[in-house]
Amino acid sequence: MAIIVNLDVMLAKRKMSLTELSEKVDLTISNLSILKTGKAKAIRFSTLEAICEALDCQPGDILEYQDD
Amino acid sequence: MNSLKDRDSVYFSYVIINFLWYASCIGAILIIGFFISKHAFGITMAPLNINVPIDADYVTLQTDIESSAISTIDSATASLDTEYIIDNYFGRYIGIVLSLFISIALFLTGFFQLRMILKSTLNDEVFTSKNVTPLKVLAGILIAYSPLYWIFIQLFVVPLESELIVHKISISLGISFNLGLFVYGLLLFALAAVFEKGHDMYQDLKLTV
Repeated sequence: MAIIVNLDVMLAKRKMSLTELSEKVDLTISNLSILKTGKAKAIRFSTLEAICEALDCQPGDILEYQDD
Repeated sequence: MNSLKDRDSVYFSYVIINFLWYASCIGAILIIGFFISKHAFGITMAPLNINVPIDADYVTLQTDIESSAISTIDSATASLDTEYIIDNYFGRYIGIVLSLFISIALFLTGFFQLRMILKSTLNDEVFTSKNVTPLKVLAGILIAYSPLYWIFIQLFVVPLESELIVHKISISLGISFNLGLFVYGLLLFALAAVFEKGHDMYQDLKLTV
């Protein structure tokens, strides 16, 4: 997959657990797991905005493009 | 989004189809049981109707009308004892019975698929891969039914009629290639494609966070 999700990296940087994040962004842990493991097919702007706000980061910190 | 479980139309459709499914099963068991009991215990079967060509002059009517006034009568239905067919045309009798069993099997399979689709709809799982296959099976059965029926008639009924009626003027074969079923079958194939697309879209939706 060309788009890499670095959510686990950002969570580690902010020393935040997935459960804490799920409470802050009002998303289920299973949905965040889908995103974290790279199984997600799409991400809503609203979700991205909430995650960026909770982790105090930019979308580029979470999503990264890698050439296959 | 409203759940399909709450829709009365889905519930009542499922109840009706369920009732018809069990009624069809009982009917099929009775038919099979009838044939088994016929051969095991010698129970008499219903006669087979054949169309015999007749001349209007030989028809005696209850109301007195001159035979020259009758122009459309060219055949009458005669009842042929099934025992006669069994004794003289046993191969064809087996063919007719097998055709009947195949028709029942196709009908029950189609009905079962319809029941499964409605059941999954009731469980709020419309766009699943489980629904695509039954729809394709149902479409295949609808498309295959008319040609199969025609083949069965040509193989087992037409030869019987032509052997029994020597001086035939016209024979009503009761065959009609049902184009409607064929079109319904094609429509169901299209619907299956829609369900397939719906399934893909639903998967996309599920994996959108």
